[in-house]
Amino acid sequence: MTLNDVEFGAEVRRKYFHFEEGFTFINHGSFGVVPTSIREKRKQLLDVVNDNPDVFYRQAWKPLMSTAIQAAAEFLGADPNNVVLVQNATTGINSVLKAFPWKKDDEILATTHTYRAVENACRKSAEFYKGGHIHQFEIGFPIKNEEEIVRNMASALDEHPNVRMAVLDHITSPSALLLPIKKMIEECRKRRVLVLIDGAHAPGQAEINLEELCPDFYTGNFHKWVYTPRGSAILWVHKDHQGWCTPLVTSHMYNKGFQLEYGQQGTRDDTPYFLIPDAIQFYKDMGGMDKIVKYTKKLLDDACRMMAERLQTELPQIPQSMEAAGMRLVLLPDFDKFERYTKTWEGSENLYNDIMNIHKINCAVYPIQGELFLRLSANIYNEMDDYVKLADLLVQLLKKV
Amino acid sequence: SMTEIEFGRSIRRTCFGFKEGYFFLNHGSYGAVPVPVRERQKELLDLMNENPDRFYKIVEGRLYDEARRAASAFLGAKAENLVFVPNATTGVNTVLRSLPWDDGDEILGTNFTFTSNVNACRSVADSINGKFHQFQIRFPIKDSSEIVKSMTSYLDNFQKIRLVVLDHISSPTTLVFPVKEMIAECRKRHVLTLVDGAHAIGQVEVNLEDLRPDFYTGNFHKWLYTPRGCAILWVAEEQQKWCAPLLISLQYKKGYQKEFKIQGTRDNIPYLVVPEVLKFFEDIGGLEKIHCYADTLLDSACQMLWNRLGARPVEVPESMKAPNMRLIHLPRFKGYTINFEGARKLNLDIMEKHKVVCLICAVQGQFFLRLSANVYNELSDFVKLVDALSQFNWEDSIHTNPVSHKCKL
Repeated sequence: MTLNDVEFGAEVRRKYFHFEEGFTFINHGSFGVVPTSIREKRKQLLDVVNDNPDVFYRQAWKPLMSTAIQAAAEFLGADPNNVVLVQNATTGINSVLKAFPWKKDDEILATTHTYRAVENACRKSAEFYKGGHIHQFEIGFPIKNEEEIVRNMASALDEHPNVRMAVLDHITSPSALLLPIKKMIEECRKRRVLVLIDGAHAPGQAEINLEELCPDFYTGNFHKWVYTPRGSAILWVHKDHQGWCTPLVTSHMYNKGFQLEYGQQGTRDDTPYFLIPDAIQFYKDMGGMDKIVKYTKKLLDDACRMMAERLQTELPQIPQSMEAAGMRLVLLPDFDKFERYTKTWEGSENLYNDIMNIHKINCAVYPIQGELFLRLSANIYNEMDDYVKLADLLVQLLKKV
Repeated sequence: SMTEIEFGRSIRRTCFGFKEGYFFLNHGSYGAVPVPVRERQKELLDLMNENPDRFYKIVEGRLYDEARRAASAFLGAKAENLVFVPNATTGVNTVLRSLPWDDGDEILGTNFTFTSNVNACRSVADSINGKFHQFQIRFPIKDSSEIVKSMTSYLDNFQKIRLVVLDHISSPTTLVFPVKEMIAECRKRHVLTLVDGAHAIGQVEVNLEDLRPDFYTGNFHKWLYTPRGCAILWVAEEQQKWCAPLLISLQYKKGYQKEFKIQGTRDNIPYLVVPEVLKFFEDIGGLEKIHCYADTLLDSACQMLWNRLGARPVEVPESMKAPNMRLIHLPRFKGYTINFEGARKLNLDIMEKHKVVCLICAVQGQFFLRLSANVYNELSDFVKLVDALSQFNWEDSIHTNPVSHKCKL
């Protein structure tokens, strides 16, 4: 089924997605979106499970699991033997950090844009051995070039020789930056530092060839940019580490090997995993990465330009090569007359909630470097009008002052 | 209305949506999800997908708390002590992995402890240079005090035991343990108790504030009809400060309730349907009514198994009998080795050839049949099971197999 003739935007939204009436959705990045066809397939699969649970849990799940892993691995240029499925990137991160044989005084390196849950998981691991630290090297606007980022990381590594593992985002969450991870991995390797890549946002947004990239560990969500139900994600572990990188839950398959151990984590609902092949097919049917990314990048270029003009602010200065395909930041003007919208986590949550609950627009807001930013997401169901609505709202809000 | 639907064929057809032509006698393994609950799950999936932001930021939190309060009320628990986890295995792992062990601490289970719990205990014991002990339980069991005595003698002989992992109802051996007494004996000795109630919730009365272990985990997706995976973890107040979830996420260090509530983006809907499930459970009659029905069926089934196959339930005291399950001693089957693999193959063959879903397990060198009965079962299901078992080749055993001479086929 080739759907190449369908126009992205309102037509795709109408044909392949279904959203709550009256809402505008420009926050694909936070929770992803599930197309109608995949939603239906999931319900059907749940019925299959429930109509004959024993047949499913004793037999049918195995080929479904291996097909899903095959499809996910192929999509990410990975050897399926190195890939297991987990419920979300947070689980992938936690699995590695918890299983790793930390020694006293070991340290971790992350960045100032590391996702908070990941930062928490790092802190907990570092806590285990008193004296351990987590360091976060600065990523700050303006960014002139990729080399800046690589250099900052390398300096941080040289400054802190006890760093055992670097936890790096493929695409940062609050700031939508596509980091130059290939070069960063090289610098880490030179210094014998292990690399754990948090690719939560990457599958579906960035080209990924895991065997080529060859970090030590990579985790990424399929339920963000690859249209699967939540939660489904992958954890890729280099062969050398599979012996000790055991899952969070020790279950029936203890000591039976990497694939078997992660495959059985007690009785639960793994149907989100089993929809990975269908979701990848949908992604391809919609045109695949080239077509999708071409659309979203152009839409974001136009939307951001419009937004910055109307709000009389600017866009953070970053190299084009570091722009994520589906997300972009726009600086928000001062809301200092609004008590609730301080330039803090709390302020950003308040603004996000109000825009959503009062004005029916879903759009992420983040505090970075003492300012509030909009994180606009674009996907194939979006069009310019969605962003105009937000611009109209914000301009109106600011006028009220 | 639900209260009027007859158990058996009628409720199977109207409420359970099971595949026609199959006979389900293994409720204990994976539970069953009635149609009204499936509908509610689908409704919530739609809600989630129509507006993910609102669902995850506003709706889910409210539904989670409602579900938690309902689950707590059902279990005689204080809501602040209870959180949701995907399954009992996760509950057990959570406690074992976050307990602040001292080097050399030891753990006690039994030879009937569920395999994945054994694995988790062994793994943890290894990591702390400790030991995992298992006190032996052998059939026949004359009195539940035997079990208590075995446990206390182990505790008295091995003073380094820090935690006892107790099954409320063991799996696959279906024994209801005298947990109240065992918890009390552990408390006397300042030993912590982790009760695995995977099979208990929905089968026996569970009153957690009354029972007062240190930790209790149990599945709602076995005997309580929720979608999989839905389970609870109850932690005594004094243990909550260190009992962290396996997954560290956004609410790190924000307190017991908050830490377990946000576990990365995932599908929590199995938890969220608990209020509907409890309503369904109540509407169809609740624990007692279900048990009454199951008991009668199981009695008849056992009679049939004895008459036709000479197979007998294991001897256990009345107080230790599971309400809706029976453990039947089987003779040898030709072509199936009496071990985990052999049992697995036997179950699959029975399922494929006869469309009968049951659980045969290998315990202490013998095959046992773990029968489950639930509201959607009828006697004819068990007839089909016995028909299926009769078709297999039975071996006369020259070893002590009291039923062997009865099984000439």
